[in-house]
Amino acid sequence: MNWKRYIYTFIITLIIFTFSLWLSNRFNDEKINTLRDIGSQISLDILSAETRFSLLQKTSCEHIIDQASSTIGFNTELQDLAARIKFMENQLGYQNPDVVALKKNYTLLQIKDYLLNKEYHDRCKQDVVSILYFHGLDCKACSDQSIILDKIISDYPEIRVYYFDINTNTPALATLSSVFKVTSTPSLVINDKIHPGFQSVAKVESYIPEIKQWKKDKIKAPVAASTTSTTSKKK
Amino acid sequence: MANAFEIVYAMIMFLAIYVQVFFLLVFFENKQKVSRRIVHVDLPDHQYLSVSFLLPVWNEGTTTRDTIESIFALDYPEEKLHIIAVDDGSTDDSWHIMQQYKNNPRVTLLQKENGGKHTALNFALPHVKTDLVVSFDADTQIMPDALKKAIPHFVHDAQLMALGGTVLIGNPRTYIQKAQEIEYQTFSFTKKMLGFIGGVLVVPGAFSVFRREVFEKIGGYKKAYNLEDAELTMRMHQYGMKIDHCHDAIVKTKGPDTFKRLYKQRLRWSYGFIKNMIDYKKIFLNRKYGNFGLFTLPMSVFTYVLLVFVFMYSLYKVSYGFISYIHKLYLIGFGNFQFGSWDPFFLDAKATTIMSLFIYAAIFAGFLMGRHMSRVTHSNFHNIPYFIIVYGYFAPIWVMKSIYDWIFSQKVTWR
Repeated sequence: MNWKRYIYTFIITLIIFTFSLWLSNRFNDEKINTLRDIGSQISLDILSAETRFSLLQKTSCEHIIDQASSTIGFNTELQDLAARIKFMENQLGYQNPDVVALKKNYTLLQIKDYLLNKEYHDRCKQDVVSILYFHGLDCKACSDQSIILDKIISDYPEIRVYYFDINTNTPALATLSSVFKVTSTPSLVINDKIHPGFQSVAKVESYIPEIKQWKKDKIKAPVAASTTSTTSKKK
Repeated sequence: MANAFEIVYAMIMFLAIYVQVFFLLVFFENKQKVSRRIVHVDLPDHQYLSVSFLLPVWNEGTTTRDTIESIFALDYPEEKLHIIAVDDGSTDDSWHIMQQYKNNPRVTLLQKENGGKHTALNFALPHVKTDLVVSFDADTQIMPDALKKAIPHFVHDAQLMALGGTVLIGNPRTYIQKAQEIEYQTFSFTKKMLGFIGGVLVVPGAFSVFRREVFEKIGGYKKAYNLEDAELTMRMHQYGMKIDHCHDAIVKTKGPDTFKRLYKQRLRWSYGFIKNMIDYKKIFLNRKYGNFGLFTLPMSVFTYVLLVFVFMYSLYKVSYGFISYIHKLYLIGFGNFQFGSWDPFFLDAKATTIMSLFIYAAIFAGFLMGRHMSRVTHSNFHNIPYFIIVYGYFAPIWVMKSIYDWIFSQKVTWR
């Protein structure tokens, strides 16, 4: 009987086990850092857009619209960030402190982007449609609702969807929820109106009068035109 | 943070790595012994021990002739080779075909009522007059140098009581046989490693060599839930007899050709293993029985647990994915799926994934070393996918069925 072999095997196994844990942590840390970088880049972009907005107070909306594609184009980046955060949440668990911090940061970025868009919409009378989507954990209909919204985004690139996990503990989100009287998940807020419960594609489309207009007009609003032109390039 | 499932998962991973590391350590301790560069030196003829092949035949007339011819074709002193063929109540022309050897002094022909393989072997044992006994299957072809490779172990080591040979699949035709080809090569590595530590799990009924005194001391074969070779091995371990594995004594068997036949064979193996294991449970984790009790048996039981666990887990994943896909179709219809571009960010970096990669790499290394040891030269890497499919997705089914049968004690037919 060679007891040493059993002990050596145990030690080597322990080393491999620990090494795997360490390597996994390293990879995940790196990914979290990437997400932080993306987050701060987006935050910088928003700040810069806000600043330009303030500077252009006195100029005409045409001026802003001219630059709209370059200033208000964070939506895809935010969406991309959302997909990455979702992935990290699956990998590390929703309770992971890094994930929680990322989600908080992401929630704030979305609210800022939403406000900026709204201001742009109000002042320049542009068809920028925003959907605020409130979802939560242990909410079966939410995963269905997410699928529906993915479909909406791919059909109408001019629509922006903001994802809010109501479990994210940040005062700004609490305020936002109370403004629109969000009490349950899933809930959609479209054109300042709340629609609680699961909404099918047809229903969501019916809440957005602009869609009819887009379908009629071949010539779309500048923002829409610019985004559609990029999607048509992809095809 | 971690829930119960994650803790179980981590423990299973730890044990799976432990098993692989153990094998690798044994390999590196004994590396020079399995090197192909070892020059084989033949013994002088008079030193070779006399050998009797036990050949139980049951409705295998045509293959029996090939088998007897392959034994005669062995590179071994002629006067030291004997064959005892037992017709175990065949209902076909087996006995008639065997008659062509009736005038051959080196062949003893016996006939009896059908009673199962173990009765045929026991029927032959009293007729053995030679030093060694070879258990052999009628559907097996033996390589010409196999005995010259195996017998010197008994000449050099008086303590050695039994020697298992390497069984490979010859000329695989069906996908099921191709999967088994990979399996047998992989297992020839683990078998050799278990041989090094005196923990051979089974001396295969298809080809193994015993000293005659083994049967005189501990008795003949038992029914043992139709897995007589595994039972005999456990009994030998119980009596503290030395068993080794001979990696370069090679026989080739056909292996079941259809899934149904493979399923029946493996159900018999895993059910027989479980039942025999229960009968010899005092060996389990008992250091009195050395590495066999401490490593081989727990490792085998763990392998069953691992197979079932991985199967259930992937079944859950696959069916979950499938159901979500159908659900998505229902929600938004066809043609709405986007495939994101490949981004290393989305590579799974869970610790358990990294551990699995290590385990797969170790199994693959074992497969390569098994090929090397059993002198496989033809390329068969393209058969690996069959192996993964058959053993990843179907092996757990017969393992679970055998556990079910064990719990509800149903009978398993022999073939």
